[in-house]
Amino acid sequence: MKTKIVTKEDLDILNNEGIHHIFPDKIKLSIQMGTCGKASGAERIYHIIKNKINTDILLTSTGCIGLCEKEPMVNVFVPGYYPVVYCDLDEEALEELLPAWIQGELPEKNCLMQLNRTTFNTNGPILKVKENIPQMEEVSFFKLQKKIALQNSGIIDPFSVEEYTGRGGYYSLYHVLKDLAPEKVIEIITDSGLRGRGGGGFLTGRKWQSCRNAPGEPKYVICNADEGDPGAYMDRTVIEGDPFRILEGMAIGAYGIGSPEGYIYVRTEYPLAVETLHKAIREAREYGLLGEHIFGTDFSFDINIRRGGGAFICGESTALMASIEGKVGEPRVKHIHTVVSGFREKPTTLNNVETWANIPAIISMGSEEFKKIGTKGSTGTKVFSVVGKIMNNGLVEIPMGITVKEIIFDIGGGIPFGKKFKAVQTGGPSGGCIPEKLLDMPVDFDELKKAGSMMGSGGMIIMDEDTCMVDVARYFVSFLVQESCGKCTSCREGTYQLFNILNRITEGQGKEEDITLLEELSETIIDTSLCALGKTAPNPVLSTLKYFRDEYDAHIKEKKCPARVCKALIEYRIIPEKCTACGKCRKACPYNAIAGEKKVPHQIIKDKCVKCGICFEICPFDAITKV
Amino acid sequence: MEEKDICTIKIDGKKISLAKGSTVLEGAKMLGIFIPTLCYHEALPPRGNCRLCIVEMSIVKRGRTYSWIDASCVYPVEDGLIVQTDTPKVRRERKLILELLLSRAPDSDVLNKLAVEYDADKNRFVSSDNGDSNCILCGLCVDVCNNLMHSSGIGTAFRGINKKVVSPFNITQEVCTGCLACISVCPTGAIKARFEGENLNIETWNVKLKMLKCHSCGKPFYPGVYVDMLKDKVTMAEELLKKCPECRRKVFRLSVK
Amino acid sequence: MITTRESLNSILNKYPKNPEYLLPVLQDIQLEFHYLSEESLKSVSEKLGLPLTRVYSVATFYNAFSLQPKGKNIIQVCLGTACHIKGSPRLLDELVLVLGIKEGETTENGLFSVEAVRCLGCCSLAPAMMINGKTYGNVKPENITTILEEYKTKNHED
Repeated sequence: MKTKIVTKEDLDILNNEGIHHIFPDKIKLSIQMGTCGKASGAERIYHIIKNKINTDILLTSTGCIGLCEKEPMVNVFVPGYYPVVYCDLDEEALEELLPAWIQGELPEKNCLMQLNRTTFNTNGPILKVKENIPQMEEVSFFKLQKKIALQNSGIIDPFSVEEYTGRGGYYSLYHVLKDLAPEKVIEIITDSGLRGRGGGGFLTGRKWQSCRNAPGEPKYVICNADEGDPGAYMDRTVIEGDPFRILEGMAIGAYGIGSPEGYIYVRTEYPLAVETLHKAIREAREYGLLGEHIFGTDFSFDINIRRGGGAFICGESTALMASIEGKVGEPRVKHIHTVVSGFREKPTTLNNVETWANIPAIISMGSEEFKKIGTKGSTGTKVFSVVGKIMNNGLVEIPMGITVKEIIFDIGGGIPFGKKFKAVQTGGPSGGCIPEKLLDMPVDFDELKKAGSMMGSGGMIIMDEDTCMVDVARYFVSFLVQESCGKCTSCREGTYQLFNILNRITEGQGKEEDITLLEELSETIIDTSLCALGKTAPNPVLSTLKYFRDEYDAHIKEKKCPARVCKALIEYRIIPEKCTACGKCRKACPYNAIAGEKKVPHQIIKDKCVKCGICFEICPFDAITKV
Repeated sequence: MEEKDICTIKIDGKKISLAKGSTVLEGAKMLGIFIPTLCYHEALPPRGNCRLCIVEMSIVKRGRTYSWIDASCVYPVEDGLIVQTDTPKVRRERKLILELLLSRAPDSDVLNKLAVEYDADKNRFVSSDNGDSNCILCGLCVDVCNNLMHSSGIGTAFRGINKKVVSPFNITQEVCTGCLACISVCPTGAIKARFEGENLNIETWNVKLKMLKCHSCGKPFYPGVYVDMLKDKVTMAEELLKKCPECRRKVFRLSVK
Repeated sequence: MITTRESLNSILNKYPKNPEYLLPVLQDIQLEFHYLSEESLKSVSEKLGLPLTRVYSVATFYNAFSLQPKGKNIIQVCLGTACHIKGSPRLLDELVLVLGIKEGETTENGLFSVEAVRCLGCCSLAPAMMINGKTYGNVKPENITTILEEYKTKNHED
C-alpha cells in the first residue's frame, strides 16, 4: 500500500523521488518500448541488455520519442551527463556499445542526439553536455518541434508516477484543487484558446462551460482514445509514453465541469495502450490521485476504461457514448448537444487524448504563455504522425502556424529515393489531399479547412509520384463503406455508390459522365447525411478531383494510370537488353507467369500474370518495367 | 403554455407557432404541407434514417444567415427558423436519395411511385439489392417489435452496406406473438406473411404460428400465442378472448341489450 | 480440466447485471474462445437481461467480434493509409497465397486466421501486421513465410 499524496510536502517528496529516478546516481538504460519500438525489436534489445548487465546498471523502459523510423532506441544516462539517445540498435551494435555504456562512456556510434536543458528546462540537476554528440535542437527532425503533449514521451518511465511528478506532473492538479474555483479553471482553458485536437477544433473551454451550465447530475467526462483515422497514432503514443498526463488533464477538467466520473474509450487494437492505462489508473488510485478526496479536498473523481469494439464510427461522440452504454455504435442526431445530454443522457464533456494532455501544461504555464505558441486562431501545438513516402517517419509536435512544407521537408527530411512529392493527405478519411502548390499553407484549423482538407486528429500521409490519387480516393471511400454504421441512406448507400464509381474508374471502366455523377453524389451525401462521418465522406473524392483532375481524366479517357498503381491499367514487361536471364523472377513468380531459359532473356506470359509486382521488386538488374 | 415554450417558425412562407420540442415535420403536417417520408411513423419516435424528408432551412443569428439541409422529421423547431420544403435543391437531392434507395429496393411500389414524381432514374447506380426483399433499412419494424410490442423478435445485424434486419438464431419463432406490427409499419411492404390453413406463416422471419380457433364459430382467428399475450394486457374474461372479434362483438351486443 | 461452460460462466460472473457491460463481456468471451458461439450469446442475453436481438446486433456490428471460430493464431494485416501506399495489399495477397485462404477465413487446421484491419497505429513502420497482439513492422512479402514458420512450430507466447 502506498502513502496517499495529500499535502504539498507529499507531492514534493514524490517529485524528488522522481527526479532521482530520472537522474539516478547509477548508469541507467531506458529502452523505448512503445508499440513502434516493440515492433522494431525493442523487446529483444531489452532481453539482451538484461542478460549482460548486473544490478549496478539500472534498466527501465520509456515511451517513444517520435522518430519511430530509427527504433529500436535506448536512452543512456551516465551520471553527470544529460541522457543520450542511441538509435537503430541491433545485436551487433550492442556488442560494441553495451560494454562502453557500462563503463560510463558515451560513444558516437549509433548516437542520435543528447537531450539537454531544452528538454529538462525546469526540473532536475544541471548536467554536462557531451562534446561531439548532436544536441536535440540541432537534429533537423526535432529542431522546429515544440513539445507539450509529448514532452515526457520517450523521456520518462510511463509507469512511474514518481517520474511524471518529477517532471512537474500533478502540480497543476494540486494548484487547481487548492487555489482555483472551478469557473476559474474553465476561464483559463477558454482564455488559452485551446481547440479540440480530435479534429473538430471546437473551443475546449466553451465546451466545458456549456457542460458545467447544463442541468442534470452526475456529469461525465470522457477521453476519446478511439483513434480510428488510418495513418494516425498520436494518441497511442501519448498514452503509451505519458499516461498520467491524460489522467491529470481529465481530473482538472472534471473539477472545472463538476464531474465525479470519467471514462476512457480506447481502441482495442492498441493492446499496449490499454494495458498502460490500466496500470496507470491503478497506480494513481494507490497514491490517492484518483478516488475520494483528492489532495484531501472535497473533490472526488475516478476513471473507468472501456475498450472499443473496432468501429471507426465510435470516434463520433454520440456513437462512442452509445458504445460505452453497451449499444451498437450508431450516432444520433445532435440537435441536442452531448454537453447537455450525452452519456446516460447526462451532460457529458468529451475530448480527445491530445486535448486532455494539453490541460496540465496550460494550467502550469498559464494561458498567456500558451497563447504565445501558435497562431491567433489556433493556439498551442499540434501533434502529427508524418508517415508514408517520407524520409523521417515519425511523430512530431509543432507549434501551430509553421507550414506544411516545413513539416515535410525540414522535419520530415523530404521524399526518399529521389522521388517527387505529389500530395499530403491530412484529416484521415474525412480530410483531403493537399497538392504541392499549397504547401506553404500554415498548419491552422481554418487554413486547412479552406484548402478542402482539415486538421483532423493529426495524420499526415505523404504521397510521392508513385501514388495514384484515384486509388487513394478509392481507398478512403472503401474504408468508409466498411465503417459506415448503415443507419442513414445517404452514407450507407451513397458511399457504396461512390466506391463503385471510383472502383470502375481504377479498373479502366470509367465513363466521362462518372465525374459529374461523383460530384452530384458527393453534394447530396454532404448535405443529407446524419452524422459527420457521412457529411465528410466525399472529401477525399472532392479534393483529389479538385487538385488531381488530370489523373482521373487519364484513367477515364486514356485508360492509363499515370502513377502505375491501378493493376488493370498497367502491364509488367521485361526489357530484353537488360535481362541477364538470371532466373530470379521466374523462380519468384507465384503464378508461373514468367518463361525463359538460361542465357535467354525472360518473358512475362500475359494471360498468367496477375500483376502482383514481385518480379518487379526482385529483379537485381532493373530489367522489369511497369507500363 | 408559457411564451418561452413556444417557437414560431415559417414553412413555405406560412407562419406557425409550435411547442418547443416539436419537429419541423410536425409543423408542416399541421399546416397541411406535404413532405414525403418513409421511416416516419406517428406511433414511434422519429429516427431520421431514410433522409427523404429533407428540407432547406435557414436562420438569422447575430446578423448572419445560416442555411443548411436537414431531415425535417428529427429537426426541433426554434424561433425564427425558415423552412422551405420543395426547392430545386431539395428536389434534386431527394431524387438522388430515391435513386439510392431504389438501388437497394428496385421493386418497391412506394419507391417507384415517388421515382415518377421526382424523375428518379433507377439505373444510375449499381444494384445493392440482395434480391429477396424491398427492405430499405428504415428501422421501423425493429423499433416497433422491440420497443412498443416488447417482443424483441427481430433486430439489426452487421453494419453499413451489409446491414440487415434478421431473426438471430431463429429466435423470432420462440418470441413472436404474430402481432404483425412489423408489417403494419413497414413502408415498402418488405415483410411477407400469409395465412396457410391453421397457421400464420411470416416467411420473412421464418415464423409459423398456430392459429386459435374461435370458441364459438370455429374459425381460426388469431395466433394462439397472441391471445396468450393479450391475456396479460387486457382485462377481459378468458372465454371472451378465445372468441374471434366478430363473435365477441355478438356477445357484447347481447349484453348491451 | 475446465469445461467450456465453466469458463463461460466465470466470465459472466465477473460482471453485474447491467446492459452497459455488454461489450466488455463479449470482448472477454471473444478473447477466451476466439469467437462468440450461439450458446455464449444466449447466455450473455440471459445474464445481462438483454434481448438476444440486441446482443446479436452488437456482436455483429463491431469488428472485434466474430461469430465464426477463429484460428489459434490471428494475423491482422494493417490496411491503414500509410500501409496502403507502402504496399500492404501485397502482404495480404502473399498471405492469401501462402495460406490458401481468403481474408476473413481460417485455415483448415485451425492454425491461422487472416484479417484486414484498419490501422494498427504503426504507420512509421509501414507496412505492418500483427499476430496475436505482436506487431511486425516493415514487413516484406518475402518475409511472410519465415514469420509464419515461428507460429507453426511453437505455441507462441509473447
